[in-house]
Amino acid sequence: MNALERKEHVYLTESILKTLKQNRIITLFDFLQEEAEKLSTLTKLTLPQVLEIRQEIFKKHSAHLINGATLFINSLTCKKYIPTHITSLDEVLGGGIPVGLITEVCGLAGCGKSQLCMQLAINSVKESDDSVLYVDTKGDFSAVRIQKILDANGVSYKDMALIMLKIRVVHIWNMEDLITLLENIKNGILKIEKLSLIIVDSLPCLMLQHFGDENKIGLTFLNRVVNNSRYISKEFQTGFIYVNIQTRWIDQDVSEPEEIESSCTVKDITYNEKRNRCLGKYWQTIPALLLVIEKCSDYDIENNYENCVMIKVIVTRHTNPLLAENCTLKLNALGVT
Amino acid sequence: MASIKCKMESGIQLLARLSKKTGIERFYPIIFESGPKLGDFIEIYGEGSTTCLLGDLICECLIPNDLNGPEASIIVFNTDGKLTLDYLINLSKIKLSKRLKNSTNKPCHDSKVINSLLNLMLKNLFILDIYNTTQFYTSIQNLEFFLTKYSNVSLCIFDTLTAFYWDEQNLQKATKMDSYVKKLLRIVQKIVKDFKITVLYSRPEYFSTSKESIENLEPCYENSESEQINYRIQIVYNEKDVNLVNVRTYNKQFQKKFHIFNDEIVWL
Repeated sequence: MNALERKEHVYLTESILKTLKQNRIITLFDFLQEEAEKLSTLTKLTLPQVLEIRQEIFKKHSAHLINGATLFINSLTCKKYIPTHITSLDEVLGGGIPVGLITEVCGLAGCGKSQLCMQLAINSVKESDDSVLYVDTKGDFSAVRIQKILDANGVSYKDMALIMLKIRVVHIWNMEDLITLLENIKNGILKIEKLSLIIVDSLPCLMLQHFGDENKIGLTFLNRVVNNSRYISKEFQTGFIYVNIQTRWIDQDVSEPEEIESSCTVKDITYNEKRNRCLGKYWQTIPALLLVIEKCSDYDIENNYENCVMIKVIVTRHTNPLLAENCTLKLNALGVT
Repeated sequence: MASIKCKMESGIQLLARLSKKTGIERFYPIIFESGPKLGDFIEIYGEGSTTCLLGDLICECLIPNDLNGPEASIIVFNTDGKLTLDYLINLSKIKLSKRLKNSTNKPCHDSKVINSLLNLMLKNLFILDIYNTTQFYTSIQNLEFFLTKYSNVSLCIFDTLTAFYWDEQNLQKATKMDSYVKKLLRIVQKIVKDFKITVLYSRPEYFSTSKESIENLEPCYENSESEQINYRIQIVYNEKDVNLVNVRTYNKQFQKKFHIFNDEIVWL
């Protein structure tokens, strides 16, 4: 919550701010919550002057109330999706990565999350003027891999250079820097021409530094990252992808033997593989779209695909969390197709 | 001589008393039965998303009088960002088609008719997109102005009330989740008490100091009291069985089952 400062209004002099502070009116909210008459008595400002300050604060900081009909007209000219240009994936997604919402790409280590993200970056800029911001938090973004994919697809060196220019890569090593990056985009300090997609690969790498914090500072940072991401994706009309990690463990269920007379009972031991998305309960409610990636281990053997891995993408939306749609993609030298 | 008692009222109270406001009683009887009353507070929570129920409630509330809907005005504090206009439009169109079919006994595919009704519905919907804590609290304080300007608003929705909780916590001491919700309810109640509106808010299921089931959570109240709520609704998604909502009011608790078909809730 912003503190009440001189910049809010010309009437707010140092002495008035000091008086207010002595009366525990420190933040903008404290000021707005207080009775105007009391503020007038405390500050020796007239009632209209107090109301003028309040109006100025509302004007600067309150959200604007927008009518649904106006929003509808505005939305007609807005883009809704960033196509992935992978036909089967676009079909399942209903057009592509949604604009204005947060998408999570999740899966076990080595399942192809980063490969898919790199492909999405290539495809987003390949046949358009758009650019992509790729936030690499692991330090393993491979320009060589992108070059190889483009080369395998017969892209000329000139086009290759143009494509690579439109994929802006930034290395981020902690949550504070990610927040600064997003705030710089939000405030126009960092301007990226025709930005259509932001990919953060991956978020747990940054959040792992805060696991086990008693003061939950990591969650405070995550909340800020989410709020800024929501703002950028909505106001700048971009898609926003966060890569998350799945963990798995074997849960040993020992079913109790039924009450039978035989003294010689063998406990029925079953092993269940359980999977979990990282980043905790707060994060679980954030993405509007979830893409879970699974490597199809038997597929290549059955279908005699050489040097090729098949990956399954399971898509769920927040509007109906139980409805899962999926598609299978091919991962090879040509990229993800 | 009998004493004459005078009752003073503020300008806002006078405005609220004189302005015509659409009541939303019985607009969603499967959950609210004869309610909700103006002034009621409703909580919706769930482990999964609450968007499906919120979207359904909003669209039902906006349905025009000609199609036997309440045609009420709604303000939405969109702090979560997942309740999109496209989703609401899609859902509204489905509902309008069904209502038109029921009223004329034949399917209506006339997009002009549907679009004009949709426009009427959207004119009664007001959205505040909120992205940070300062904006959130300032907008809540500004609600008084919004409700004065649009005096026909009957329902105010916070989706979600708890979106900025972690951003507000400082290193020294974290506010308990229940206390945080109560603090916000106190602030909102103070502002809306003179305006005769129903307030509905959502929160994630984990956002509670007590991890008890709905029957063991704090009771609901018949009348609007400070920090108290009148309806508590829990959404439970079941992978193997039908989904359900647990509803708790001051005097009863019941369960309703539902499916989601084409984004719309189908009650069983």
